[in-house]
Amino acid sequence: MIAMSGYVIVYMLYWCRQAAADLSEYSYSMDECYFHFALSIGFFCALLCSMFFGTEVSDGTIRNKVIVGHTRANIYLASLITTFTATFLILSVWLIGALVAVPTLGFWKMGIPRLLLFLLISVMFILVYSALFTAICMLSSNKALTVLVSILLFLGLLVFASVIYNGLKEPEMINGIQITQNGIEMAESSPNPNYITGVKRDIYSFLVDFLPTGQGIRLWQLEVTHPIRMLVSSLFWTVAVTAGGLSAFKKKDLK
Amino acid sequence: MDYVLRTNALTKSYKGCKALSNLTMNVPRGAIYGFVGKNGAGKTTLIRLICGLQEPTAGDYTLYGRKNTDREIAKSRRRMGAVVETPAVYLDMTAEENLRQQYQILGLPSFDGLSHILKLVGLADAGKKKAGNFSLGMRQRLGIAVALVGDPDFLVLDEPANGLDPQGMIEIRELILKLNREQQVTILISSHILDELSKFATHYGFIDGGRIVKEISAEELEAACQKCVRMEVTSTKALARVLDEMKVEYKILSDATADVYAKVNLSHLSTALLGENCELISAQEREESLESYYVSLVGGGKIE
Repeated sequence: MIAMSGYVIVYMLYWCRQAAADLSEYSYSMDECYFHFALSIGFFCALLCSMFFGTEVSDGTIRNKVIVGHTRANIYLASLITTFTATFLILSVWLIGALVAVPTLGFWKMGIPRLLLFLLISVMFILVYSALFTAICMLSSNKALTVLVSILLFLGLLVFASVIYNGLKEPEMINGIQITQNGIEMAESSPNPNYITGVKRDIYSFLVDFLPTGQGIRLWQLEVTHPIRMLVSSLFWTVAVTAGGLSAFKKKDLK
Repeated sequence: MDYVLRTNALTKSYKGCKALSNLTMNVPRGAIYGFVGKNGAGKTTLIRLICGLQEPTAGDYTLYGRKNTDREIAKSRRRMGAVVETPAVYLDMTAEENLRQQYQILGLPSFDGLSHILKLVGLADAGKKKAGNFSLGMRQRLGIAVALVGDPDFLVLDEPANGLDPQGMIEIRELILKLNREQQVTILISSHILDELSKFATHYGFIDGGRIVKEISAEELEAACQKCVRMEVTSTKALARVLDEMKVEYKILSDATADVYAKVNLSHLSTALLGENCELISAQEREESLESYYVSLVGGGKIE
């Protein structure tokens, strides 16, 4: 919490400094930097969950709960709620800490309804992260492996979402340049072979909205075009991962 | 008899390898049940099963009359405490913090009795020392302390003497006896120190190859292990007549051998046997310990 509050204050003050220095060239606003937690929050969730519950499993203290009669479902769901609450608190620290930039950058230009929608999407995708990393922690018996797998999964999802998002951002036409006797001249625009069209574009777009890391990129870029799709995807992820994780945890031999 | 735990043809397989095979055992209420077996005999597997850490492949068990498949089994588990293999404690917490954690896990409204438990296991002076810096013996005691939170009626201890010095072993033994006698706690204890186990167990279960080979009470074991003189004679019928006249306890093993459970004057016996046309060929004093009884049951091999 302290580290996160220090990080967000330094980060936002950096943006204030940039805004003050480049005021004439670029119009900085609170909207642009307020959701910059969206890419890193998954990492914090992975770290926190795997360190905390990894210890429970690897030290065997989770056994004490089973022995005295707590059901595995209760233990699993309690862990999920704890992870979500802790990640939500980290998110809250960011959201509150980021307000230090208000005097310089002003309030949000997106309007309150859109701001609330973005916050709802944020809460939903940290729920997905919590479900994913809780499942890994509950099913692994080795703390080091849990930390490694959780972080690698997050990075893998982030890279995958970035690659897809970058594919979507390819321009339809390429404006080339040519060097002539008269100097550098703009060439005629030509179609970009990497531009994604048709069904493939729809699938790419869906995947970015579907993946929690893709949703993070959308929030960072303030490009939320299918909010319902994003919220339903988060709900689907949470229910599917929790149901699968719980089912496997119930059958797991605890040692 | 009232039983705390009964298992019925309990089986546990790991990838085709049977760790437990149709194991049936009964732990009477109020007993100190010594669970004896070789390495890999299935002791810890059974303890894991009854603690709910693993599910049986086949068979079932009842805990305080509730089957393991019963939804209400959690209520029975509330009445038990256990230390399975290594003590499950938070290494970055003190002994007191570990106990507070267990109070919270159990949902107890207050920390009443916490200092009493610490005192009971000899950790009242552990202070702010983290469990990670405890000796193995101290951790073992802390594990037992955690298991005692919530005043369990049934305590399961898996090799509690592991890592303890002789003084520590005496303290644990006294603790077990105290819990059993003063608070009527039923205790299931697996131990490889048979001599130590024989000092307090009231019942024994001998496990080999994943199945119980013998369940016996301490009295029955004592009778089976009592001192005797094994005699070889030309006729055990004649020997039986003489011993009946002498009012001596005996057991006929064959036509030529018998165990006599008393010290008899061999000259007098020999004279009396001659009167019955019987000769005393040899007499050998025998005494069976728990260890030798165990070895005779499971047919030797390395004892855990």
